[in-house]
Amino acid sequence: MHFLRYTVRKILYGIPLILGVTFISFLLMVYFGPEQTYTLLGKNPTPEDLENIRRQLGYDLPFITRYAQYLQEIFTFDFGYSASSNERVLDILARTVPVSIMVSIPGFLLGNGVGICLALCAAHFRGLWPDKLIMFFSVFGMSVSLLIVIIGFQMIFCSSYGLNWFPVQGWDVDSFFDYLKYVTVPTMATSFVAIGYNTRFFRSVLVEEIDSDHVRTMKAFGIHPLIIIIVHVLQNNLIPILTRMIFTIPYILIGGSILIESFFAIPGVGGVTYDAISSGDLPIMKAVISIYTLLYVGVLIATDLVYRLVDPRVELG
Amino acid sequence: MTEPAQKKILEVENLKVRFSSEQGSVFPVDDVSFSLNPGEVLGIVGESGCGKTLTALSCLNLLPFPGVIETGEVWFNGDDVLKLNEKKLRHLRGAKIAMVFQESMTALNPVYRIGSQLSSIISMNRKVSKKQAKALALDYLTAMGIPGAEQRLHDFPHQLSGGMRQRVLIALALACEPQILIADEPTTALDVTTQAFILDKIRGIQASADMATILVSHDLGVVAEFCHRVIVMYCGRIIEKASIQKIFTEPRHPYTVGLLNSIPQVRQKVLHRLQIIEGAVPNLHDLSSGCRFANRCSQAQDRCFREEPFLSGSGGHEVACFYPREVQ
Repeated sequence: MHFLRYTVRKILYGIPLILGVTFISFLLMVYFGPEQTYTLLGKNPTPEDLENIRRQLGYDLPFITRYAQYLQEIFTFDFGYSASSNERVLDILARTVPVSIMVSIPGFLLGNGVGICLALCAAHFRGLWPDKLIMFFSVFGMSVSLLIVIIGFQMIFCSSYGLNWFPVQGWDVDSFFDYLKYVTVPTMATSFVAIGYNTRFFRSVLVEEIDSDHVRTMKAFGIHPLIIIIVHVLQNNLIPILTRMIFTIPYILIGGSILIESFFAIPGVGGVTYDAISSGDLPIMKAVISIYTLLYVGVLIATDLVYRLVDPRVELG
Repeated sequence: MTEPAQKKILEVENLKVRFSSEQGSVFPVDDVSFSLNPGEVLGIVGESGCGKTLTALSCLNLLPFPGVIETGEVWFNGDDVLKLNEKKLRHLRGAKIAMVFQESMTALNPVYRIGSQLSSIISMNRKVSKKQAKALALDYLTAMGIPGAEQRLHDFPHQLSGGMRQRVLIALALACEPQILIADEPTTALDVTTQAFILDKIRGIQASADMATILVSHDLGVVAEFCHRVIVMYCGRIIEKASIQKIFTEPRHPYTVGLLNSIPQVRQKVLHRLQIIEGAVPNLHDLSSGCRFANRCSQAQDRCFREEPFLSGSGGHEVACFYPREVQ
């Protein structure tokens, strides 16, 4: 009951955040964003044409009215039609979002799973050669740009200069085998970088815990090191680890996938976002920003709830 | 107090602990040797940073990072603890030698209930079921005078007071029924009346189970109450070693004399100003070649600044001083 009330309150706290983010981003889109009037018109438009097209696009309405319309769109989840392709925005999202999720999930799982295992290993052997080896590769992974990794992996795995095992780009998925064929190299590229960052972060968190008094107590009473590291070190640090993991979800779904999707020609939401920004497709931008905001606020609420679940010291204040 | 049997249960020989940093290596424990008889209570006293806790931790081969044992042996049951493999060390820790830590506030895992932590540790060390371990935990908590012990088992560590947590730790160590109990300032967090109660409890269990005990403390009052023999440490070295009567009646090292003089006495006819030992403990990074106490010693002579004295003496009373106080 207590927990339910806490949850409801957290959700209510999310509402002003959604309003704030959408308001500011809408302000930026309207006053500093793309203006499509002249792109849609031919040469030498008459004042009537101008007025016509502005009315069609809704540019003539006062800002507040347009923002209210936007809020209504978020609420009904209906963002109208794309300004460039005239396709329904919802249809575009329904087509591209699942693809992005499919592309990013393996990388997300691998990046975090392998990152945690390596970090546990490095923290356990702190100062010794396994630690140094792992940290060397993790800093290496961090230091190389994702762009280089993508191109490098494409050269190695997808071209006839290298192994030529996988298609260099595309997304023609009908079966699980197809899925593996197209998803492997992008996953390797994202994991390569993510593992580097994650391992370093997780290790620094875990090393602190390994020095703590309660871990020493467990050692002094002869508890098995594997139990210590998983039950007493990892469990106690789930808060920073989960925070980091959960917070990367919105990022990898939209932001992080732009590069991957464009280099591997994957028809995901990242590419759609990029096109919308460069062509000034307001309805799509509005939709993507709303989804992004909702995801982020959802993630914030989720982390607050997860904190309480993993650490009894967190008060349900 | 009767003199315990002479078969040693623990022997520490020439223990030297090194900590390396960018400023160079220091040896916070330097050439420390002592032994422990079965059933005996040995006190290790000295001020903060003199190496008493590190000495105690070395007996379990549990030095904090980046400390390493440079040289030395710790003999227990015919094994050198410092050379045991990981598995044998695990069997030794807790079950054979249990330790009570000074930092009672943080010594338990904050995210698990006390009952589950105690029962998992006890069941592992006593080789009993979780249920039996829980009953044992309850027994010992009650013996430690924790009110509503049953209820406390369901609490998280942060819900207990400092004194309560300290008692939980002592109960945990005692419940493992070790052959040796190492208690690092076990009663520092407790108020004086509780302290007396707890010490009395530990002594009861210690005597009935014939459990040898090392008591690390800076509180000479507690040591006088509790110990058979005392080691006085200063700056990583043992400077005096004697039975409890000898230390209190015939202290020989000027530092020990100073320590004893700085105990506040309550029931005196005439109140004196408390004596203090002038100066401060030298930095371990720049120790001179002489006696480590020389710069604070009122008896120091030229030789004390040039040479370092080593422990010597007879009749179980050893002192590391060139000019020890003469025994009347």
